[in-house]
Amino acid sequence: MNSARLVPALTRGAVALVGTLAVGLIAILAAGLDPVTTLEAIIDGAVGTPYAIRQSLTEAVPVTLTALGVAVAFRAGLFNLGGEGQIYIGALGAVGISLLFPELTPVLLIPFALAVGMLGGLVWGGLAGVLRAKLRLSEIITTIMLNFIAFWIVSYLVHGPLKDPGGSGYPLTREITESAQLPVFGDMVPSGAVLMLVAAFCVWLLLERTSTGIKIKGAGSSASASRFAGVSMSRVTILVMAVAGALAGLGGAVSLQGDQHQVGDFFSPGWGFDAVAVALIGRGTATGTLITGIAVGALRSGIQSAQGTAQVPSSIAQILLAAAVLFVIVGNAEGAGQLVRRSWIRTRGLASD
Amino acid sequence: MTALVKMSGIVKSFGETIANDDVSLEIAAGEVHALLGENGAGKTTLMNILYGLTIPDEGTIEVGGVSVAPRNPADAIDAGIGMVHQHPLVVGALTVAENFSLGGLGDGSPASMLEAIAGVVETIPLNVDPRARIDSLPMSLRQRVEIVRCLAHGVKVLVLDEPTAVLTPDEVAQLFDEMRRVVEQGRSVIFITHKLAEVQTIAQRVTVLRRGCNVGSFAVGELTSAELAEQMVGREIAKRAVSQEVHSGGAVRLGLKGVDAVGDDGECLLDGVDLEVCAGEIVAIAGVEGNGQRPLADICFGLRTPDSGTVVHDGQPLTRLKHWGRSKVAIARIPEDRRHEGLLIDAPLWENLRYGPNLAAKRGLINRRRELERARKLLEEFGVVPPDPMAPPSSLSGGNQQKVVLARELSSDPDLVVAVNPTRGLDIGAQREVRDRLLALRSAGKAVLVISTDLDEVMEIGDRIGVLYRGRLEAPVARAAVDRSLIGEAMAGLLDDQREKAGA
Repeated sequence: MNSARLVPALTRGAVALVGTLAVGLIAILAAGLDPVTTLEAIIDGAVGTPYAIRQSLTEAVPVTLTALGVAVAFRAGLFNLGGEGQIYIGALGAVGISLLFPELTPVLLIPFALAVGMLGGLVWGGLAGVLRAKLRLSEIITTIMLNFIAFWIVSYLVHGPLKDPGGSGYPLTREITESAQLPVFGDMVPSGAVLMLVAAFCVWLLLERTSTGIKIKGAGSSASASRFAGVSMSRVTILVMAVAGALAGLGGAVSLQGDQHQVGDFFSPGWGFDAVAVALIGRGTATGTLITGIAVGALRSGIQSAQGTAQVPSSIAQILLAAAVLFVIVGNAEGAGQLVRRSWIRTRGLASD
Repeated sequence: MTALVKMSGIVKSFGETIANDDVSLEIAAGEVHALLGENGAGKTTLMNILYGLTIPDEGTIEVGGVSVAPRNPADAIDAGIGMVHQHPLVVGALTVAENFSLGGLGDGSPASMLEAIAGVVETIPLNVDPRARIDSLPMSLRQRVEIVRCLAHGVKVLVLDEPTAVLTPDEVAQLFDEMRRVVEQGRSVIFITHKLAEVQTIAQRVTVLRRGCNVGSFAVGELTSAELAEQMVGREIAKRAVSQEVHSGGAVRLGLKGVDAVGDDGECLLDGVDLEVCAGEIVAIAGVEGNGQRPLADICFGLRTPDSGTVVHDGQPLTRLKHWGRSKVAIARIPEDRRHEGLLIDAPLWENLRYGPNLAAKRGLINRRRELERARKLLEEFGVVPPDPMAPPSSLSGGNQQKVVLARELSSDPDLVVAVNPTRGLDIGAQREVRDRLLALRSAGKAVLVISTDLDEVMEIGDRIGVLYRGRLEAPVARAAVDRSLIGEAMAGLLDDQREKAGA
């Protein structure tokens, strides 16, 4: 990267980081906490022990997988706000297979359940793609609406047909058997994290090393040039939304099989929406999204743990995430960049006076 | 001589590009003053500064001896400066009268408009129905609406930014007539152009800009056209290289038979177009913009299916892009709008050099190093500066952008080249290179179809020349058999039709 591109990139990063930290500091002070102990507690809770790392990764996996899909859609100029619904459908598919075939050997059952979860998400995302490509319905609207449909389908099922009869009355499915559960490597690395890395690598390959990737990015940057080049916008739209859905569906399946082991009303704490923020902060690249996703997972997990050790309210994680998105957008804005440059020039002018 | 407008020491830079470097300009009252220069010489920037659209880094402006510093067009109009842009800035969805009311002239009703502009129309008759929607009017009338609007505001200086680019020869004559009447009243006209003949016809004095610097101001007649051209480009332009021999074609490469195209509102866009382009010839189609160029180009590009008729490439019927892509021999397609159709303006050049119908043929993983090498080779071969495969087209000049399009389209060794306005907006040097490239392709036995609104270009490179108007194609004939005025008449034949209809 030459300096002409590096300097604005650094400026953007600095704006995002400084702004986010400032907001975080204000939030911590406003909660009447000591910033130093709070920070220590958060870091300790995020990466202090092998268990903390495992928790951080577990927290990071579904949101990162979903965010990778959102990133692919971003590059094609599409907004996948349907991560939430795709996660629910993915989890539903995986829990269905896991409960139907508990006798299968794990070597077969685990990938089978994951694949069906992915397929569910693919259909759910692909549906929005088809509606956009064939009927010109905005994917922003349809994905949000499909979220509601997915959520209420799952809600109905866990309150009724799929409700665990032996449970304590909560709207939850039965727990899946051990034969469907994802293993953890060395007490620290959940296998979902490995899947997350593989998925990020595949997304990187797709976007950076295939002609399909060139088409996706081309479709995102100019519809008229793509039409001229003979790239079918509807094919790209359907493909991209299906890929986004599949990744979110995988996220739901992994969270089920690797962490929660049963599906309930509140299976996802809003990963589908956090994923949009993560992909935005990651600027739609595979690496950027992966790094941001892991950081967000660690932050969430760290704050959750600090809630117990230092009475840090968990809402601070959400505040920080929102602030980060805001400042990334501000940092990317042409006007904001000029503002920073101008004030810098003025400051230098003052110094030399 | 009293200077009505005096701009001194104007400096304006955009990032690292210096658009105006210490430019000074004096305009006398009652003159048509031409501002001459190649594309990118800084003419429009200088005038945008005068009109308050751009704030200069340094320099002063005086109007009628009073120092002014317009920060927006309203300031400029108050100071007595009006400007009409190349593409008139009137609101298409509103009527003529409503557009006048936006500028505070009348309340949008025809009567109030006529009252507000009564003094002006004595000099320049508007001859437009005040209730007509602007987007139903031809460019020449939109321009006139803007000129009248400026004059009604009482401006003393009228800036016209390349007003003739969108006009037919007849309309140009009419515009010049209007300009003369404006200066007779003691007002001044600043006329931006890069056409020498127009300078000689209408201007009393001319200021030449080159690469942002003021080369000098001259009285027209003091210099010959050739000398002016030399001032403008800063080098002896190679004698116009009209290709010596007229080529006649071999086998038919592209054949259109009875091609019709119908618009969304059922209007006829193309009417029974027959066209053959043979190996080893350039067929050039002239015409005023909006006479069917776009649908004809889209059909030749495979982007539009004709509503009737056939398109044949090497004996193979082709009507859609799918067929173009599948066609064994690739067809090079140079679109008119390189920024939006030809290129992904922010994607790296190496991706742009792949972005075409044969992209699908590239299966499997991309070898990045080999792609970059291929791109660098192509960029060097086509003289793109700088040949950096990672740079986006947005960082290149128009000429270099066009070379990237050419590099991509010609890299598949096509036997047919279709180009629309291939040199529009390019400076003279880049125009030369692009035209030479097309001539070389012809000499190498390729079939070339050029659809262009630039008559000079058509006359220079066409072996056979046809004229498009009202969707009908005047069958291409050998260049030796036509002259400029004949083509001009064919292009304007349309206007006579229109007048007849209007009168009837």
